[in-house]
Amino acid sequence: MAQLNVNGGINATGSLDVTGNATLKSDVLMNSDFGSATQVFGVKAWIAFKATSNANVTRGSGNATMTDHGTGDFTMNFTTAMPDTGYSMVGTAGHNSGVIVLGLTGGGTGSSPTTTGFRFSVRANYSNSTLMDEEYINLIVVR
Amino acid sequence: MKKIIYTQENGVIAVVHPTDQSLKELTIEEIAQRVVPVGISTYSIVEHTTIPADRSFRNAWTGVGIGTAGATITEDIAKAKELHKTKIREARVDKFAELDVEYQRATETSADTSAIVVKKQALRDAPAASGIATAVNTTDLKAQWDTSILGSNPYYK
Repeated sequence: MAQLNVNGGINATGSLDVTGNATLKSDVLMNSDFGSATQVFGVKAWIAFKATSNANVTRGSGNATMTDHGTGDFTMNFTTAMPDTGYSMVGTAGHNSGVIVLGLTGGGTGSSPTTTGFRFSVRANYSNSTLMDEEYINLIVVR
Repeated sequence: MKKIIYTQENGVIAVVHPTDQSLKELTIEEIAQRVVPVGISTYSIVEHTTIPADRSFRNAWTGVGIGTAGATITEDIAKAKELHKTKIREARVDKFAELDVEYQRATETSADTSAIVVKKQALRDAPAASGIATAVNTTDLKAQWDTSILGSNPYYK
């Protein structure tokens, strides 16, 4: 397989087409209607599972696993630790009436995100906000 | 598909679900070493078929033989009974509210309220139904749901 190693820089005013994998070992900047070349941040980890089917189908990135602590009570684990806890996580839960409450344990005790993961709850957005398992739970982590 | 199970401080079993991709990058043992919390020294790696398919009483799951290859998960019937009672109490919240409105309207028109009073008392008594105390497994518990006062059975949606 041909390989191109660049120690300095490439200034391409036209298109740069890469048909193989591209490994970029430093920051990535791009101007894609941002207005100027700006550093972009990727999804560092993601996970998608079905809590109602006992999570036998657990999809996600290679550095992610999920711990099921109980009804509506989960942890997203990073098998490769984040450099710090300054990451941002976003999630959805459905298709009933669940909402994700990030950073809370099932008992309502505060649980701060760590470099190796964060605990989150899924609660009903009606009645007594009881913990609940949902058909679809999806989370992404950006840093 | 392999899973990792361990007993949490509250006695309930935790189940770690690796992603397909994570199992291409690490072995299940390596994942266990990274995700089982500090302070939990014993865990088991089991097939997914070890994990119960029915999550109705998920918070009553208890590990048997954790630390061995033959570990299993059972349902603690005492915990399951408490979960069942909690579910009844949650279900009757809306029912009480409906009966309160009925009672108020009946009072305003000086109508007979005795039937409403009976229904409210039945709701109060529901968590103490004798069938709950005598249930020997979660199948028995699921049957202990009086649809005439609590509405549809949540275990058979």
